[in-house]
Amino acid sequence: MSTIKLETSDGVKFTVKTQVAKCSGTIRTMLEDIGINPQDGEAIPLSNVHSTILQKILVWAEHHVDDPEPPRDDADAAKRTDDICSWDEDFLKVDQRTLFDVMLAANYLDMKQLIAVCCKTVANMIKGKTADQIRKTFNIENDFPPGDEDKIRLRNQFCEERR
Amino acid sequence: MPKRKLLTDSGIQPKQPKIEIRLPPEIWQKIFLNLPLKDLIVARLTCHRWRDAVGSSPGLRDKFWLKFPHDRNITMINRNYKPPGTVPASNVMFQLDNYSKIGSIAAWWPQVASTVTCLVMCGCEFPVDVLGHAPNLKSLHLISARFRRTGRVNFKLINLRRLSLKKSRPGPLARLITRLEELEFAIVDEEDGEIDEIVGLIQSAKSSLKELVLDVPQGCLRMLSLLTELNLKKVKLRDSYGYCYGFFEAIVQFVEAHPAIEELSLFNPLELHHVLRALPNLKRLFLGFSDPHVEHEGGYLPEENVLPEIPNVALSNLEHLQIDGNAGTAGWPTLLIQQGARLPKLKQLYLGFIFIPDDSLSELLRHSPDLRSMTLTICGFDSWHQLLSLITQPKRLQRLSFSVSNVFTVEDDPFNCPAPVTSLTYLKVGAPGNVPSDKLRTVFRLFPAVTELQLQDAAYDGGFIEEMCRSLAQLERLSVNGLGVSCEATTHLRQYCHKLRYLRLYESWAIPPEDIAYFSKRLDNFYYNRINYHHQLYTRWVLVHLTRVRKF
Repeated sequence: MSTIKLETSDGVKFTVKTQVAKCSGTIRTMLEDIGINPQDGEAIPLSNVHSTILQKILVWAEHHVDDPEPPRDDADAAKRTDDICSWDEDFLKVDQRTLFDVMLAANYLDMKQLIAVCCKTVANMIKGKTADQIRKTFNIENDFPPGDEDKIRLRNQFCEERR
Repeated sequence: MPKRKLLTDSGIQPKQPKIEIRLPPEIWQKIFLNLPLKDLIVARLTCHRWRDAVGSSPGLRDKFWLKFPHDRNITMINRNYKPPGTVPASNVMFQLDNYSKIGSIAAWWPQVASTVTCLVMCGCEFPVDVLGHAPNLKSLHLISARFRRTGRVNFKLINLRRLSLKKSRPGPLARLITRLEELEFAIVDEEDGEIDEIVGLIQSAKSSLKELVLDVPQGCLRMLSLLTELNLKKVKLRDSYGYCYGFFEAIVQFVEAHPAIEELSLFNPLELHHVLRALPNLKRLFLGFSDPHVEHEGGYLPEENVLPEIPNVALSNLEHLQIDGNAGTAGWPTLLIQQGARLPKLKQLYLGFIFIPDDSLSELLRHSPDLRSMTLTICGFDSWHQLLSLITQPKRLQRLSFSVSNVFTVEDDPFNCPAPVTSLTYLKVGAPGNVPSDKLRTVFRLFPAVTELQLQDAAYDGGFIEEMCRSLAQLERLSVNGLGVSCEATTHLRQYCHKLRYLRLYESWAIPPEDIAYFSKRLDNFYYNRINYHHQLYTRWVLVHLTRVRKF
């Protein structure tokens, strides 16, 4: 089985099955289009990913390596967030900083399925909350001038769900 | 439903820096795409960054509809009208009555309009500038609306692809469109010069126009027949002006003028021979019928509920045929097929509310080797065996849905099927009509490879479910919407259907608690909604039990 080497921002080298590494669109493009030859023994530098995060992402990729291609995302379809599989749910039971780091790395590595499941996880953290609860959850400062929030709330009164 | 673990419940540190800053807006936008509108609105209220992230994503803007006036008590939009603010939205509707004039809205409209892709103008009279501020407009709908006379117009709607005019005249639109693809119009009371305006509009869109939806008098249809340079692919002709022979001749003339049509929808056609002969490229045909006994002013009423014969003309490209018989007071119309008719490329067939006599349909389908999907909704048949022969004949059928209104003869002797249909993976069985349960259950033996089954609108006894489970060992997904099945039913499911991973039950089986636990544990998706009839309560149906488990 062919393997390739990946080097993280902190200089750690990982030897990874090519098939697993190809879960990343970025790496796939490097190998297939740009023609980086994995046999060269040279590590592919991933300058935006820390070793602790890459390790975690590789665990995910290893588990999902045989997943079928997802159907093309239909923009109009109502998005569901209650369909996260239990393995992923457990996998993403991490502190918020790690979760966001995984998302940033997955974004950089172009791993659509992982991003999607992370987005659903974060969306579930937003759903059903008030603005104050959301700020507390994500440690966000309310940067609206006092009183402005009510105005914005009023402004939203005539919005309707798209038919 | 899985427990929703909030990562922050335990994970947040009091002295953490503002971590939300670390995700770029495009990731927040991807997250927000998963939110329903009410949560999206709250997300906008959280901070400026989030509000901007929502406003700058077209996908998120698509979720918002704005209605003006925003308050029902306001009946005018004039210089004094101030909307309470704006959410950047893709969709906007102006809703007024009686051609109420829209006055100057220049103070707030340009900002709102800049993100609009879909605009509906209803019951109002408006200056054409309203459109000029919406450069991204893709879809425009006018319903009882009209343009106010204006001087020069110095813009084009270069992104406009879809235009719908209902009880509304095109006004200056012919000069504004550049690449219109879909046009719908409904003329209710024909006004002077209205048809000329519409012909002018179509002429100006002739190079890009692909789709027409028409509800027009025959005079208009005849005018459109003269526009032979159009390259129409999709045409839908509504029937407000139908029922008379003159109108139908106008339809024939129209389709003869547009032989490139690939998709045609017709209502109450009197005959199909001339129409279909003119359309050699036809891929999809939809035929709708309404009750002929409904009075129609000045129109011709057929005396019986008769469908036109499927003619013996070359329909060598037809892939999709849909005929909706729509039961009238005269009973189900009868499907008539001319001898020798052939649909060699047919892939999908839908017949609804139609009586299907003898073997003429079987004979037709014998020459349709690619048929993949067949739906027979509330259809009548001469005999039970005729129905069984019909549904087992197409050897490549993948999806089958049937429900019965009436079968004249239900044979006592068993049906001899030449070979089970192993291509079929989806089966839906609806109302059984007068077919007894012990006959209906034999259907499952004919389709041993079914992985998804939906049962609807009937009471199924334990023996029925047992035979179903025995026959369908490959079953992965089962939905039942029935009226009570004995509790042993789940035993059969557990015993025979080892591949089951999805089960959805509504107002049906009384499941013992241990089975609920079993399915909750074993299945990826288990939904059980049991409702019972209750005499003493005003709400007659009472939810007795609800279980919902979803792992994937």
